[in-house]
Amino acid sequence: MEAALDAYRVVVGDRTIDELRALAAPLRGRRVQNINATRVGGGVAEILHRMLPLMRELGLDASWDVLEGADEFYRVTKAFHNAIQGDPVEIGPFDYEVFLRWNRKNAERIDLHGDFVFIHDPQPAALVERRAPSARGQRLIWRCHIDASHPHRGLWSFLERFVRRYDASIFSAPQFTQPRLPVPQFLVAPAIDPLSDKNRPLEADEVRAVLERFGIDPARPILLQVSRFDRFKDPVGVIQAYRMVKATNDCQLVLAGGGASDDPEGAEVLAEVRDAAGNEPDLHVLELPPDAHLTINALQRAATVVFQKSLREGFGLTVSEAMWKGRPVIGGATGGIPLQILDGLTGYLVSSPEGAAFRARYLLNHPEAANEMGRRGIEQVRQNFLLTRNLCDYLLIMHAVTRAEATTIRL
Amino acid sequence: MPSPFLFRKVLYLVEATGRRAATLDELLRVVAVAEPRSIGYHMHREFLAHKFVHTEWPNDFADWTTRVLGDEMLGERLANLVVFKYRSHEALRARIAAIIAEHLLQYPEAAKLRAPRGREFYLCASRPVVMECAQSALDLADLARCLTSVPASSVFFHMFETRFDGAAHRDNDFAEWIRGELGRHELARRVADIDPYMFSLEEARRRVIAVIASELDAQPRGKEAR
Repeated sequence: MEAALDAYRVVVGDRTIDELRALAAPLRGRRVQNINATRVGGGVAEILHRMLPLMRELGLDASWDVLEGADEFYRVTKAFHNAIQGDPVEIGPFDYEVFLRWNRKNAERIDLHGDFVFIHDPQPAALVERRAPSARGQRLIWRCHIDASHPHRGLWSFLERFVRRYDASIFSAPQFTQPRLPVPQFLVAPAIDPLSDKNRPLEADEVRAVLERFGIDPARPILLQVSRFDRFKDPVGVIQAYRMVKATNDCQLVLAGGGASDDPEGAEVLAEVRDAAGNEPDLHVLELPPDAHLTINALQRAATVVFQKSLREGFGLTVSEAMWKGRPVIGGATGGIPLQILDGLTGYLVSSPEGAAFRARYLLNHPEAANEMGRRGIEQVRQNFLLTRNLCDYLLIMHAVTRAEATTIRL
Repeated sequence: MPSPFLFRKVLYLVEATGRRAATLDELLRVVAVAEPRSIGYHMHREFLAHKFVHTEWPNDFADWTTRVLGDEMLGERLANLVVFKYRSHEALRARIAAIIAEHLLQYPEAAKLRAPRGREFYLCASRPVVMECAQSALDLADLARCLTSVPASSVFFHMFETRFDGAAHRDNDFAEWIRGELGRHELARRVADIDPYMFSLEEARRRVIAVIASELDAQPRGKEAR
C-alpha cells in the first residue's frame, strides 16, 4: 500500500510535511526520471518504490525506468560494484565492452525525457552518452549509492569519463566521494520508510507468527543479521561471533538474507554460510524472497541485538531499520555504518568477530542499557534517516542544479 | 510604524568539495583555499544537528584536531575563536589558517600526527536554501510569541546565517530589528550579547525570549512595547 504524504505527519511532525510541500511547489509538473538496474531487491529499489509516490503527490511527474540485461551484464556490473568498493577484481576489455553494449542497448529503449534524470549507481552510468543535445535545461544527476572512495583505478578511469558529463553527482557520505570530480558532489544519506511493510509497527501476534514459522524460540535472546548473502557483509564472521557469545550466554542466531536480481554471487555465498552454520539448531539461516518485508520487520522487532558486521558497506540501511525498531545495533566500522550508529549511544562499532561478540555479551547482560540505546536509536533515525528527509534533499538538489551559480537559494 | 520582523528559516544542501586532510599541514592547505561557505558549514553545522549529549567542541576544526589527531592544544585554540568578531567567512578562514600555522611553527612535531584512513577531514560546503516561515512580528510581544514556535532552523538563520555578509559589524537579526525598527538600544544590546556559541539553539532561543519577556514585564502596564 502506498502511504500518502500526510500519513507521515504522525511520525515526523507537521512542519516537515509542510516544508516538503513548500519546497516542491515551485517544481510542480517537472518530470523526474529515475533509472536503475533492478526493480526488486536492494536498498535503491526499495527507496524508489517508496519515494516516487510521494514525489507524485507533491506534484512532480515522477517515473522509473529499469535496465534490461542478460547474465553477462549482471556478472560485469557485480564485478564493477565490488571493484568500486575496493575489492581486487580483475576487469578486462571484454567486461567494458559488455557494459557499454548493454548500456547502449538500453539507451535505445529508455528515452531520457526527464527535466531531472537521476541515474542510480554504475550500471546505467553510460546512458549519459545518449543525452540529447537539444535537451536544454535538462539536468542529469548520477546517484552513487556505494563507497567510491578507493575504487579499482582502471575501472574508475573508465567510469569517470561518463560521470564528468553529468550536471551533478550524489554520494551517501563525504568519505565515499572522489577527490577530483569536476561536477558537484552532493551528500545525501539514504533513508528508510517508516510506513512501509518493512518498518511499520507490528502487532505482537504478527511477530510471534513469524518466529513460529521459522522455529525460533521467542523466549530466548535472538541475535540477528539481515543482509544479502554477500562476503562484504561477513555472514561467516557473524557466525563466529555468535559461537563466542553462545559459550557464555544462551542465545540464538538468525541470518536472514534476501537476494537481488542483479546479484549472481548470492547463491555461492549462501552455500558457504550454510556450510559454516552446520546443523546447529539455534542457528537459523533464512533465505528470504526479495519481498519478505513483513518477515524482516518481525525478525528485527523480535531481536535482542542486531548485527550489521560488514567489512565493506555502501550505507548499510539495515542499521537504521533495526534502530527504528528500538534495537541496539552492533556494526562494522565501515562505509555508512558509523554515520548511523553513535558508538556507545545507539549501539557499538566493531572491527572483528571478537569485538562483535564482546559487545553482544555486554548487551545481553545489560538489558536496561540495550533498551536505552534502542530508544536513542529511534530518535537518531527520526532525525536523520527517514524517507521524508531523503525526499527533502532531492528537492533541494533539484533547486540547486537549476541555479548552479547561486550561493544562496531563496524560495 | 516599524517594518515587521519576517521570520525566515534555512535548509542546507551539503556538498563534498573533494578536498581532504590527514595531517595538520594538509588541513592548513585545505583551509587556505576553502570557499567561504565551507568555513560556515564546518563552523556551524553542529548547532543544527540533533544531539543526545552535549558536544564538547563547537566546530569541526576543533573536533577533528582533538578527537582524531589528538592535538588538544590546537583543538582548544580553534574552539576558543570568538566567531562573531569576524565579519565574513573569509576573515574567519584567515584566522583559522593563522591559528593552525602558528601552532605548527610553535610545535613542529604536531605535523607528524596523521588521521587513520577513513577519518580524514573531509572539507564540505553547504548551500543555504532560505524559506519564509509565514510568521512575522510587529512589536516585542509578537517577536517573543513567534520565537516560541518558529523552527530551530529559523533561530539558526537569524542568529548565525545572516552575520557573515562581509559588511559592517552586524548583531543577530533580533537585536538589529529591536534597535533599528523599535529604537530600543539597551534591549538590543542585551539581545546582541547572547552568544549562541555558548548554547544549543533551544537554549539561545529561550534566552532571547527571556530577555524580551523581562523587558515586557518591566514596562508600565497598558503600554505596548515598541
